[in-house]
Amino acid sequence: MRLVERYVLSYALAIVVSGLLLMVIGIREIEIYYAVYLIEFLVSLELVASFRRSLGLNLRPIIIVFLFGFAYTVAQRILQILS
Amino acid sequence: MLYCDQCGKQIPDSLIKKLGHPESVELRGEPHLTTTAERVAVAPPSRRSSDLASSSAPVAGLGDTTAKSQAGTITRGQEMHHASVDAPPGMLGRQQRILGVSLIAFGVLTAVASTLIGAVNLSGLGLASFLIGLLLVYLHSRPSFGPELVEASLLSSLANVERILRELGPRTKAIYLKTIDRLDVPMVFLPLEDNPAPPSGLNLSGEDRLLVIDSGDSHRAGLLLEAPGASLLALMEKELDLNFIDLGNDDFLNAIKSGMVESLEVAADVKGAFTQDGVSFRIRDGPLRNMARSIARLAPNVASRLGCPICSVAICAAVKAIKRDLILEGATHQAGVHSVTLRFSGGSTDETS
Repeated sequence: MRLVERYVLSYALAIVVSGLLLMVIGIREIEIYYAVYLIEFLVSLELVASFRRSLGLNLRPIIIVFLFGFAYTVAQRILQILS
Repeated sequence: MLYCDQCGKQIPDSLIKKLGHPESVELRGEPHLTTTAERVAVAPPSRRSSDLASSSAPVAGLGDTTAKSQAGTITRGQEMHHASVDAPPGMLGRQQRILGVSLIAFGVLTAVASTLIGAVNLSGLGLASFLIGLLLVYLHSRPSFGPELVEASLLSSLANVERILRELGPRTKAIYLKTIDRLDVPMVFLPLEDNPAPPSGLNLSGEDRLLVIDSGDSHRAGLLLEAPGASLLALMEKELDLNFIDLGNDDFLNAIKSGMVESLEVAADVKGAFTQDGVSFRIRDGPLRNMARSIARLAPNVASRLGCPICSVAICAAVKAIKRDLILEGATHQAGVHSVTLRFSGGSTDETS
């Protein structure tokens, strides 16, 4: 199996398992799910990018999209607390 | 006695013999090797050249010198191969995009439904589905090419090198020259003299010619070629974000394995052994096994005397890390396994094969 395929499959497995785990322990905040998924994405990417630097560079737009999403959820939470 | 009009050096008799006719040697105003067109065109197509024509699209026989004849060598089987290149191999394909879009849609629907029914924790799974889908769709947008295309784009160049080796190259062993600078391209030198017993430090760093002639030193007369795996090594270094010249003797074998198996994915496994006499590699073929087989069959001189591009990557990396000239004792390609034996230059073993 190719490196990219292994990366996608391992990431998919990781977030499905962690999502189910968070569900089981009763987490109801979507931003926690998002944060966990983002951390898993960055960690797995870092592991793969040590072998293939171009993959890390290619996935930069996805990282930016993910970080914007994370910033949005954090901003929403801050506004919720302030209000 | 013939002398090069450009550099004034004497042309060795062995080279003149190899070219056949002294009058066919024309070095005035041409820094590279020149031979008469008739000599190439008149040569009857050998069995090997007809093999080239029948089994490889871009490679024509020795007698075929026109673009038209080359185009005519593309068989129906080759056309089918080229057509199949449009579909990226493995999971990356049209199905991947469909799967990605489906996962995005499922994720959005799950998130909306979970919000409507008040099951917030379900939206976590919806988000997971959305992210995986996004990744699949994005990765699909990157171009990916099949091994057939790599093979087809490589074989013509190697067939030309094969012709040069067959016409000019003596039966001496190739010497992979050490690189001094980080940006140096790994070069391989084929001495013209039989049994030249090259010195331990063959300094050809200033040379930028295919045919190196030095009347004063017979060790320095030969073909100077860019190593077949030099470009792959550059790509491997870029992907690994390292330069093999910075690595020590203990680290480079692991780096070669990581680079060839994980980064470039040109081999399934690489085993290397570093001894006092030299280095040996055993490389198990990966997705490019058909390419390696084709090279060994269609360009046997290149494969056995310079090493195929896959073997050559490992050799170039070793030369760069060890910082010594290495003589290629042998490169064999059998049953999906490349076996490469290298010896440090300056040893006592006979240099002819």
